[in-house]
Amino acid sequence: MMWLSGARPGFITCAWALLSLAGTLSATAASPTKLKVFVSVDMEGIAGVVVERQTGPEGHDYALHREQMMAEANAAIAGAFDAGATEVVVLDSHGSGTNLRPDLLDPRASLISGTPRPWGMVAGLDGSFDAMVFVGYHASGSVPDGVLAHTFNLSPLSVRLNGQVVGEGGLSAAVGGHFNVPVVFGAGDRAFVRQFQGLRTGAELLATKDGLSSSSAALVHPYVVVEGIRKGVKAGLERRATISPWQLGKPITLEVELGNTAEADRVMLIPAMARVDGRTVRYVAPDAPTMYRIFVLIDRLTGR
Amino acid sequence: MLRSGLVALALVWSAAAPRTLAAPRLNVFISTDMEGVGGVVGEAQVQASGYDYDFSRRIMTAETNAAVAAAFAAGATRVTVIDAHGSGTNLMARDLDRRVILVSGFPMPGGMMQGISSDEDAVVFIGYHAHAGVADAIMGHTYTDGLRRVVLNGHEVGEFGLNAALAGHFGVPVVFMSGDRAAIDEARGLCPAIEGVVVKEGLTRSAARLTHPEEVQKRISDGVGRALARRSGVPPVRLTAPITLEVELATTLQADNAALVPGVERVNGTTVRYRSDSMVDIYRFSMLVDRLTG
Repeated sequence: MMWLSGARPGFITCAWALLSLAGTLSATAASPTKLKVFVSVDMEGIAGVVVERQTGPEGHDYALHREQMMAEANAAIAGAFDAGATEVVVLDSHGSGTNLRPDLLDPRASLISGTPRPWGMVAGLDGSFDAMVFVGYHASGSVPDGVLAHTFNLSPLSVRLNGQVVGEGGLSAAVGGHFNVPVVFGAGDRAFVRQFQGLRTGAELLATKDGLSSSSAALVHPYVVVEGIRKGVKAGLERRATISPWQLGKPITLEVELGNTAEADRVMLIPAMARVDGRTVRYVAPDAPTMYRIFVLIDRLTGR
Repeated sequence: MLRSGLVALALVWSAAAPRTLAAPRLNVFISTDMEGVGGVVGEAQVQASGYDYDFSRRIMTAETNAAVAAAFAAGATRVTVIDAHGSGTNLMARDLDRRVILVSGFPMPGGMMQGISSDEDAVVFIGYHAHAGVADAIMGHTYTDGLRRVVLNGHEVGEFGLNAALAGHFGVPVVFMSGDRAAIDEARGLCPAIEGVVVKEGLTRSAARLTHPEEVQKRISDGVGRALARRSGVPPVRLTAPITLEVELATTLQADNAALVPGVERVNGTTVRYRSDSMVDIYRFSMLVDRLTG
């Protein structure tokens, strides 16, 4: 999730509810087993994307890459229904949250759109879901070959949960873990895949490109990625019993190393926040959802 | 004239007395803002980019010096001055009374009351203004324009109320305040015993009938002296726990952000509520909400 300059104010949150249609279809399906899937879609890890201007409405190639983001989201939805999903909720997790076109979304899914969302990239997730899917994800800013690597609006030197460096994928997975929901599939650049493998949950992962620097990569063809996502989501859901939710135990210690001391000064106004050193702050949260909201708050206080 | 002559005699006496006995501690904490100093009526005078800012900061420095001199004349053992306006770099350090400790810059972790503690014996506010939404208050606001309404334990407050309650937490009374008529009325509403000097009578948000700045400085000097002399008669503003702070923000988006803070309740679309047994927590929360509205 990354904000684009000028994108912050004035956005309208709208949630598209096409649940009635999904309900009709599931009622006619042979197997009544509930399989509710949450799909969080970011943009930097979409096939073909390598530089920032491709990821925001001001960029000249945004329309092109937005189409690919749409195609990858729809591939994930299709893969989920291939595996017997009874309900799929898609969250537009990138920037303004208005990148996915509601009219082009697979009508079997519902869409959560807009920003700001107190629950960031997991808005709408709760214990009623059976699996999570990440599309278009990327690594955290500390990874050298992470394409467009960052965490929220920040370029923190690192974000650690109980000492382990995580990116947006790890933060989202931790909230899923709280609800006992595993991330069964993730697509993103190679650095994302490597970082997410570090959580050792056994998730199905797909690399969409091999980063050469923060803004260059050897690409996997967009059509190949779309096919891979559909197959991968299906495979991940089918073997979901072998994939663990990422559970950190309680409490969870969140440490964020910020870009400068002025940002840390602002963050220190948050009740119970501790200062580790000039740039690093620490918050001991009773559980993952609390940790996540604190991170969103830190981001709101320090992001551009 | 006669009255100030008597006061001056009294000050000489009270300043002289401690030297012969064991000098009692009298640490004075001065928080200086800008909207409520003499002669200032509009935004152009209180923003560093404004064409008349140089004028205002000279007045601000002079009024602070008047308070400092009066404090030392009343037997102060230490005077700390907080530059509590905007960037915190308004007071001209070179022109300030050289006996003071100046605290300058932004942000300060403790905001307009940086460093207040039970080591202080009396608080003085210079250049203060009313809270947002008061008719005829010169540039009334609380911190920034994002905080439309601030209610502390059921009382609508502004910077005076928040700052006085924080001082009260440490048992320190606010003995004196200068500002526009609306600011002084607001302060007396919460603390009737406070010594107040009205430096201008607001006619609208940005027009006022002024008292000449030199006369203002004289009244500040007299007023601070009087206030410190009778400080035992001015009670600290103490709140009963649990303390509740409600903040009405300008937009629901700002309230969305404020609602991220642990423990915050959303009262309605634009209003959030926070509770704590400690005024220190409440004060920090007010600063955090303000930061989130920017």
